Amino acid sequence: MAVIGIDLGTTNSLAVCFKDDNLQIIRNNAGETVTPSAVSFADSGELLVGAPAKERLITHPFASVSQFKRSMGLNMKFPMAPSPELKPAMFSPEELSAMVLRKIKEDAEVFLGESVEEAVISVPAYFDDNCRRAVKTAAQIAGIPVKRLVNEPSAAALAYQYRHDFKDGLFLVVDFGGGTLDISVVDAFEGVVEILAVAGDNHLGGKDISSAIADSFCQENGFDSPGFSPQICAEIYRQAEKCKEALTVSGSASVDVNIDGKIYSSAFDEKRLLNVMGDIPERLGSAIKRALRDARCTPADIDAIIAVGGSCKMPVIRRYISEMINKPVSDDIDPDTAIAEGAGIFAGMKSREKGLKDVILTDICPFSLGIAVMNRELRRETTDFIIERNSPLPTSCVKQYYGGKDGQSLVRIKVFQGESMWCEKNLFLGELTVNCPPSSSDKPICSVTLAYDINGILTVDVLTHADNRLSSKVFLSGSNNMSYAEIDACIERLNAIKLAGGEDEKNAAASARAERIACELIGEDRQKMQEALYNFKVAAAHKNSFEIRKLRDELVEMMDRYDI
Amino acid sequence: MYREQLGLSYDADERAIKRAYAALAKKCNPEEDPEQWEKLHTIYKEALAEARGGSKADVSDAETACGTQDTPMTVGEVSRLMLRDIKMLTEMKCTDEEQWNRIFATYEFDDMIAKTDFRIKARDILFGAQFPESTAKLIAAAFGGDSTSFKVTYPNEMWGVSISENIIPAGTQKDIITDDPANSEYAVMYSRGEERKGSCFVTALKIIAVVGLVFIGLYALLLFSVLFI
Repeated sequence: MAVIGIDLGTTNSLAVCFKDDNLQIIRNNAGETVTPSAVSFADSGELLVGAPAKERLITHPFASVSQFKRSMGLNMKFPMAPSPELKPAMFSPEELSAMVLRKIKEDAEVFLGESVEEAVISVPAYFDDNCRRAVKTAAQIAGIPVKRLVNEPSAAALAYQYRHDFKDGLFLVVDFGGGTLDISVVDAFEGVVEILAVAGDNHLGGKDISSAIADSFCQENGFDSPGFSPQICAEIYRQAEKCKEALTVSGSASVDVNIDGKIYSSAFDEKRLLNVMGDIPERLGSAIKRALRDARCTPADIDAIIAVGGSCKMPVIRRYISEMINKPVSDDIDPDTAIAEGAGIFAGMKSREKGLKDVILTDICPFSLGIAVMNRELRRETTDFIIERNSPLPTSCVKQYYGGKDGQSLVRIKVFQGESMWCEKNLFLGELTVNCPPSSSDKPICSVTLAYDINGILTVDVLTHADNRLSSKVFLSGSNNMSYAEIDACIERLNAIKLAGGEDEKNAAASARAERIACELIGEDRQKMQEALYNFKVAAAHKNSFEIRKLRDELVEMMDRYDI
Repeated sequence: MYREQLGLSYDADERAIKRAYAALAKKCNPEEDPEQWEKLHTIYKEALAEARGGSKADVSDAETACGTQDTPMTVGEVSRLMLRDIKMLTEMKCTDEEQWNRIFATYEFDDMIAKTDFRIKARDILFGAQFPESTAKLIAAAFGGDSTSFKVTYPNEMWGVSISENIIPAGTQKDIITDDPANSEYAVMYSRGEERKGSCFVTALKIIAVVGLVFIGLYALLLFSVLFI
């Protein structure tokens, strides 16, 4: 029975287990620590998750989906079909995430040799209630009990602290991942890790940088990308991503795309990269400023900068952050695995592992919570905040309210999450209507208490003064916006899809990769690749397992030679 | 005073407060004893504020000192910079919606549009400026309220923007519960401390007082004229 921590990322996911005072990164059945958050239908209709699905994003865009974390909590569906002729099945981001989670759980069980009893999943601190709920639903569909979610920057802070024996100091955590940006200010002392403030941008990530590079490539070569087939678009994007990755290690790189047998290329260096990035650094900077302002500290107070998430590997981004704070970015932490490690440590804290007994993580509520009040001057409803953002969890606050008119006998409390003074710009969480004896508008009619606990459960208590009666309602973030019946239907639907496993999965992964590489090559090389792939496919169809394995090894060897 | 509650002397420093809090928090941590922890944490925060130089005014001073190269960013500063950007784009007759949205799509702008003086200054900047239809509509929509975009035909066909001083967005009038008799049973609530408007009785008193003053004035005038004549 193990408790694991899962980093369910926009582009990659990984899992970590804290066992016997030791942090173990779980390897999947391909022996990799990282499982790409991508799913795809194989031609046979089986489901592929992870690396093979990622390869198929380019060769089979109609059958493959990724980046669904960005749509968590939104009412969106992604189409997927084993072949372009078939009518695609529609999947919600929750279901797609569940497919990834299910795979991670199965791999973890094989790797650890025991069943996974519970998991802690990390989420961007800036995820609102809807998004958090969606993650819990996904876990439920995947059959993983998840009681707690941990904020990604908090997890990164835990991982950093664990590595540094919980040394004291004030830290700035910048979590700039594939799709989201989270900034936290963390105060650590005596084994206490206290999150002081959180700020971020839910829709800014490395993906935007890749897109900017891809756009610039298209512009330079005079392309109009909407005119391309999805395959070519995906290929341009993949090459842009590759160029971005190359720029993290060398000063210049280029985007080379093979379109209809002709290779187009454009060269990028740091200067050009900064140019095409546009307002991305500014948006990063303004989030950092906001976090510092909320934590009531100045850049000079910060002792170290912890940078996690794939995008923080980029030298441009690191330099921007370090120049802003005037401190070097700490480089003794792996930006790719830190969050999962932190989630694993948190899972270990939850299961009271010996080495972590004296560690306390106190997190905060990243959003303000308030109720709608009638503002007479403006003659419309505005939000009156009861719990301010960045309040430590658990927290509860009380405020008194007056009736709007004499003899009022009904009080309607509408609860909102968000920062805008206008109710409609905030997220509506629920409402509570209370009857009370008619009372005059000169005296407070009721007091409202909002209590928000560490599990994200919000309780609203309304005390009407005239009859001294307490009414309360619990807004469960743990419960779902999907009903149990709907979740059961999802589980059944996913169970009906066979997950490709073992040899089948390896074969699918190899042929997907070969197809993708063949697209990138030209001339003789392409012919060789295609021949090898063709031979392999024929062998795979005839099910001679020895032959298949032999040909696959040859194919992999060949691919390693061509795939730079 | 808060420092004593943590079992410390009244002049204990930040370091000692943190150590005392950490020791106590291990006994009642937020996972197991949330209520006790919440109380402890409040005391801890107050003790810290006390040790950092007492009054909360210092804390809010610290709040304003933040930003790149230690430049202070106060609300006034943000408003000034934002107005400067709006002015720049207006003078450039910028039609690039992305540039405008760089200002409008910020959290700071959301805070600013609620402020009347910011709106008045923005209105002055945009006064007389002309844009293509879509840009004008974008700007007017960003400011909300009764702000409108309108067609100008001189010197050539363009659109102008007028920003309202008040901030009741157009089209939301139906939300006003007080004016809707069908909805009058619903709560209309005010925050504590909000200015209460006088009742009818007070209004009546005011009217009587004004009328009385007018009478006294007339009487005095009459008296004067009689005396002089």
